[in-house]
Amino acid sequence: MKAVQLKDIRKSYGQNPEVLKGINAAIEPGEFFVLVGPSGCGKSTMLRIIAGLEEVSEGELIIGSETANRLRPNERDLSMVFQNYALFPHLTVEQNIMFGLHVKKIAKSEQIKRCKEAAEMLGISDYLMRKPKELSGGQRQRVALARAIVTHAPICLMDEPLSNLDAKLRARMRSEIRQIQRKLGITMIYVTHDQTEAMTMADRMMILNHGEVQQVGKPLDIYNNPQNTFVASFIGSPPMNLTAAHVNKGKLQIANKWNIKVDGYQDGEVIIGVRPEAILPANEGLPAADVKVANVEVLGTETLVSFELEGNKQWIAKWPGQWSAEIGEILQVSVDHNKIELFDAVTGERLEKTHSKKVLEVVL
Amino acid sequence: MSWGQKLFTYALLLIAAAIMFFPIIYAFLISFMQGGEVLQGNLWPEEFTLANYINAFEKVPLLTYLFNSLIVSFLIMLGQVIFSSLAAFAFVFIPFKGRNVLFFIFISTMMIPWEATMVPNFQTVQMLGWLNSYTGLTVPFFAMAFGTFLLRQQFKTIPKELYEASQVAGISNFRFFRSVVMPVSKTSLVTLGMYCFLTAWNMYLWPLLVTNDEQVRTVQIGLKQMQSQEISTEWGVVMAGVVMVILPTLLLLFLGQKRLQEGLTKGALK
Ligand SMILES: Nc1ncnc2c1ncn2[C@@H]1O[C@H](COP(=O)(O)OP(=O)(O)O)[C@@H](O)[C@H]1O
Ligand SMILES: [Mg+2]
Repeated sequence: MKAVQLKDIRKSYGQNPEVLKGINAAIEPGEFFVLVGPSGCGKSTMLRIIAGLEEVSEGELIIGSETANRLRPNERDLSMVFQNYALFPHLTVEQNIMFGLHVKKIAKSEQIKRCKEAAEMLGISDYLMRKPKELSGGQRQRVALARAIVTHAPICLMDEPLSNLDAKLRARMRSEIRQIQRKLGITMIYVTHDQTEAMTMADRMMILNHGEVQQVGKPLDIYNNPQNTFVASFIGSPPMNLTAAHVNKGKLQIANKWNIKVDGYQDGEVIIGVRPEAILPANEGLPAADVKVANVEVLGTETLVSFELEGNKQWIAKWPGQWSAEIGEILQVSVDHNKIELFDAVTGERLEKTHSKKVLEVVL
Repeated sequence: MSWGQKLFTYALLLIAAAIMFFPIIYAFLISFMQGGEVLQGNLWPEEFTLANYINAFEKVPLLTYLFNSLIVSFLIMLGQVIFSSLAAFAFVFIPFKGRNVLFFIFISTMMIPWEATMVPNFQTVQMLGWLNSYTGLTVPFFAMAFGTFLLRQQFKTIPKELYEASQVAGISNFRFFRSVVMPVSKTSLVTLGMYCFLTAWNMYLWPLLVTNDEQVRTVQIGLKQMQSQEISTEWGVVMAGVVMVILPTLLLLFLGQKRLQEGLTKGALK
C-alpha cells in the first residue's frame, strides 16, 4: 500500500496549450481516490502520467517514497484497468488473467492459485477457458479487474472502467469494486466523469476542469461546501440551481421574487446557489413565493419539479414522495435560507462571510 | 430474383468464366496432345498421353528448377513477412521523432518501379559475390514498402490499450510483438505471405540477370528456355511445363483460401 504524491504536475503535448496546469495532490496509502471532471478535462492524461504511459512535462511525481518521473510503467508497481478492458482477443480468460505474471518471476503454481482466487472473488470461475468475445460486457469487465488483482500491486489505476456497462450493472460493480478495494487494502486511483460514481465510491475526490484542480476533499464536504460555481453545478444530481442576484444593503434580491436579508456579505453582484432539496414546498412556516410549474418528474420516492423563476431561467426542486402538480400550475415555494451558497459573480469563487455566523432571514 | 433472372445471371457468369479460363484450360489440354495436333487446331486431344510430361522433364532439369523456385519463393516470402511486420510494428507502436516523415518516404518508394533499381541492385549483388546464389536471388526483395504499408494498417486496428497493458505488466516490445501482435494479425500475415510467394514465384527478369547456372535457376526461366529450344514444333511439351509450373500456385491458392477463411472466422478481433 503506497502513497502517491503529485507536485505541481504540468503536461502539454508538443506546442499545444497545457492539458494539465499544475496539479497538486497527496493520495494516502489504501485510499480510494477519485478523479472526476467533464470529458476532456485531463483526467486520463493525469492517470496515464501516474502509470508512466505519458511523460510529465514539469513537476514531480512521487510513488511510495521515490521520485517516479523517469520510471518505466512496470517499475512503478501498479496495475491498471482500461475503459475498453484491453483484453487479448486471442487468449483465454485464464491466460488473460495470468498475462504478464511470468515477467514478475512468479512460479506457475502460484500464478494458477492467484488466478483461481481472483476468478472466485469476481465470480468468473466458470468462464476461465473462454475467449473474451464469448463473454458479456460485465464478464469482460470482471476479467479486466481480475487481471489487475492477481498482480498484487499496491496501487491500482482505473480509467472509467464502468462506462461501457448498463446502469444496473454499473451500480452493482460500483459496490463490488469498492468492497474488493477495501478487502485488499490497495491504493485506488479511479477516474470517472460520472459524479454519482465519484460521490458513492470515493474516500476523497479531486474535481478537475480544464486541467486545473477545482477542489479536493471528502464527497460530502464537497457537496456541502462547493468551492466555486463549477463544483456546485458539477456535483449533485440534479445540479445546484445557480442564478445571478445582487446584494444590496444587506438584502439579497433573487429574481424579484425573494428578498432575503443577508448578513456579513458586501454589496454587489453575486451568484447564488440553491440545492434542489433546499427548495421547499411552502408549508413549513417559511415565507413563500409564487412560481409557475414547467415540468414534473415523479421518480417514485421523490419528485423533481422544474419551475420558472424569471424569463426562461428554470430552477429544479427535489421533494421527497410523489407530488402531482399540473404543468402551468402556480405553486408556493420557499427556500431553506440556511442552505444558500453565495459565489462571486465574476470569478465564481465561493464567498466567505466577513462575519462568523451566517444569518439569513427571508423577508417578503 | 426470379427464375428467369437467375438463369440469365448464371449463363452470363458461365460465359465469363469460360472466357477467363480458356487459355489455362486449353494449355492443360494441349499438354496431353500429340505432336502436330495443336497445329491442326484441335481443341480436344485425340488421345490423352503423358509423353509431353516425360519429355519436359527430360529436356530441361524441371525438377531442379521447381525446387529452386520453391526455395527462393519461400525465402522471399519469409523475409518479406518478417521485415515488413517488424517495420510496421515500429511505425505503429514505437513513437519516435520524424516517424510520419520516415513512413512517407518509405511508402514513396512504392512509386519507383523495380526495374529502375535493377542496375544498382545488380552491381551490389555482383560486388558482394552473390551471383548464382540463393542469397542474390532473395535478399534484394526483403525490404518491401507495400507489405509494411499493409501490415501497418492492420496493426493500427489493434487497440493501443493492449500495448499499454503490456507495458504496465512489463512485457518487452519483442514479446508483445510475438505473442500479441502476430497472433492477432494472423489473417493479414497469411494474405501477405501468399501474395509475396506468388509474386516471387512469377519473377522472371531478376533471376535471369543474376543466374546463369542451372543449379540455381528458377522455373520461369526454365520455361522460357524450353520454349526457345522447342520453337513452335513441340507446344505440347512447353504446355506440360507450364502446367507443372502453375500447379503449385493453384495448390497454394486453394490451401491458403481455406486458411484465410478460418482466420476470418476464428482469430480476428471481435
Ligand atoms: N496524445 C495527445 N496529443 C495531443 N493532445 C492530447 C493527447 N491526448 C490527450 N490530448 C488532449 O488532452 C486533453 C485531455 O484529454 P484526456 O486526459 O483524455 O481527457 P479526459 O478527462 O476526458 O480523460 C484533451 O483536450 C485532449 O484533446
Ligand atoms: Mg478519458
